[in-house]
Amino acid sequence: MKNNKLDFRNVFFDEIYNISKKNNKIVFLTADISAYSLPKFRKDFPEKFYNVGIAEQGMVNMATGLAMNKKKVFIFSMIPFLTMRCYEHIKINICSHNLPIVLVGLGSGLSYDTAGHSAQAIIDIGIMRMLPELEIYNPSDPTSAKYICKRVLKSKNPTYVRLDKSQQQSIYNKNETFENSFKIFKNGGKNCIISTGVMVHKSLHVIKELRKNNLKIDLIDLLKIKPLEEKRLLKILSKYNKIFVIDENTFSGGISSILSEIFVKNFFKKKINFFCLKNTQDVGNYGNREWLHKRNKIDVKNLIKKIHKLSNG
Amino acid sequence: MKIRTSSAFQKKAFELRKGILKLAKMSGGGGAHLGGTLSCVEILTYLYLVHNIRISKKNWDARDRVLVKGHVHLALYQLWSDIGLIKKKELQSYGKNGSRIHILPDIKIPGSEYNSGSLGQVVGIGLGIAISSKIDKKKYNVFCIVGDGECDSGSMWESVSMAGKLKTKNLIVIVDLNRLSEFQIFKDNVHKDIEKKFRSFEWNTKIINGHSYSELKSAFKLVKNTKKPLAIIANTIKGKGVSFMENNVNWHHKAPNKKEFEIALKEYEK
Repeated sequence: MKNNKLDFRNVFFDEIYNISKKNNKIVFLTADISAYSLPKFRKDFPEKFYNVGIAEQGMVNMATGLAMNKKKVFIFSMIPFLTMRCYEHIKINICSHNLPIVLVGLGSGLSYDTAGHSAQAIIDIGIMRMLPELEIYNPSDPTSAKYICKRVLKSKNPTYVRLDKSQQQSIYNKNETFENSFKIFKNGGKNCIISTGVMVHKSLHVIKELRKNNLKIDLIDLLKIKPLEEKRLLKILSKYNKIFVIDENTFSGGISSILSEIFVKNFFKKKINFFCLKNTQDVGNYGNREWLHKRNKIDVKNLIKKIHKLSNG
Repeated sequence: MKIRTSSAFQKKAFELRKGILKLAKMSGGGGAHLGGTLSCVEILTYLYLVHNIRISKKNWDARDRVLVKGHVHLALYQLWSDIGLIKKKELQSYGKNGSRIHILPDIKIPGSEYNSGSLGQVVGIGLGIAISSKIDKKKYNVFCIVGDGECDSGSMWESVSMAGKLKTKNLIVIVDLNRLSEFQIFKDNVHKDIEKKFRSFEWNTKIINGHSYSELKSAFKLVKNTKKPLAIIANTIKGKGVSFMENNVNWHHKAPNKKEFEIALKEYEK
């Protein structure tokens, strides 16, 4: 484990840059969103880098034409503009042709904490998972982001990667293989948390604190949200007494509804508690991410209290 | 099949219109979009049969690309059968359950470069293809045919703007400007407005009569010489060739009844 915090974008884009040195099929499009690691890509691969301006729908269509001609295209913008503004373009042009374009969305969950309704991304998983052909990835740390970059590069389907805007420490070893779509942190617990993205860090924090009270809890990190390895997940979950879902999205807009569907479909009868955002775009006035988490009762302190009580109940 | 003379061109356009009506009649005409198909007949005939586009059943990388508003499917299927992309007898399955020949062509049909039907998309897709040709150092042209109603779409202009900035010289947009969309009549000088928009995005433009062989010929000559993307703005008549359909917004996609079909066909056969 490393102690230095890294930016998801830089890790992800550095990987694309490095692969581009050998792979001449990669083309990168951005809708005027920059990142520290992008200028060198533009400088070294001028024919493979296009800033289309604030024209996300045009970007999706241009990517479609490029991918039809066997280019591996990455398109980059902030999540709401990349996904919701372009939804129908993505549906018909990228997905109905099943083109292996990679949608890289910036600012998962409440990454853009102080920016309010327009920039926050708390329902995008919900709408994007309706697209049958699309795969969805949600890296939780720089190491998994790097791995996911390699993985989407090989995918033959359209993929959507959510990148958090925060800097995070790696929770995985450099040598981690990530063979499956989710990772398990085993602590010998009878209960298990399921989480994704940055909330995995919060969940680890909760687990560490509860351990001080002799309460052991395991954790599952959903790195690939769609398609999920349903059977494997259910087999693992069947061993636990209680399940806690922690997500920085609304219930229907995030992993809560996905898991609910799987549980209901498979007659999975366990006690499950969901900790997610309220079903509103008004997440609670102006404030930083921690403050917003408190407002929505998904802050570490509240989670510890609730999970402790539920575990003993 | 290549057409070299004006008279052969006119004969083909006449046959195509007749075929459009027959196919529409065969399926009951639902979704036939006769108005905007009949206005586009000469443009499509010129592009596929007169202009030297390189296209074949084999999807080889350097073929010319044609991305057309799918609504003109009744003309496209016949032209694709003329150039050997689909078999003529397949046309008989049009509109039947299970047929791949249906209202809006998709990539299952040779000839269709994309899953059509959603308007305002082809210029962007075409731009992506045109940029690919530059990356791959392959020389081919990308033709996009759009309607005037489609020119209201914002995503189209995002791509027009980008193509102008990139000087994507192998991208050609042809506007079938028949002055009527489903629910609006465009003003008389709309062709000039649309030209102004293209020019402001640094495109070359040419306004022509989209039913005239000689004017189509002069416009297509610019394809080779342009250093910028090219917009051919073709003034056309919606429902061209059938007296009661011409310039009549009711025939945007209305299905003619049996009597109306017979009257229309008679107009061609007299």
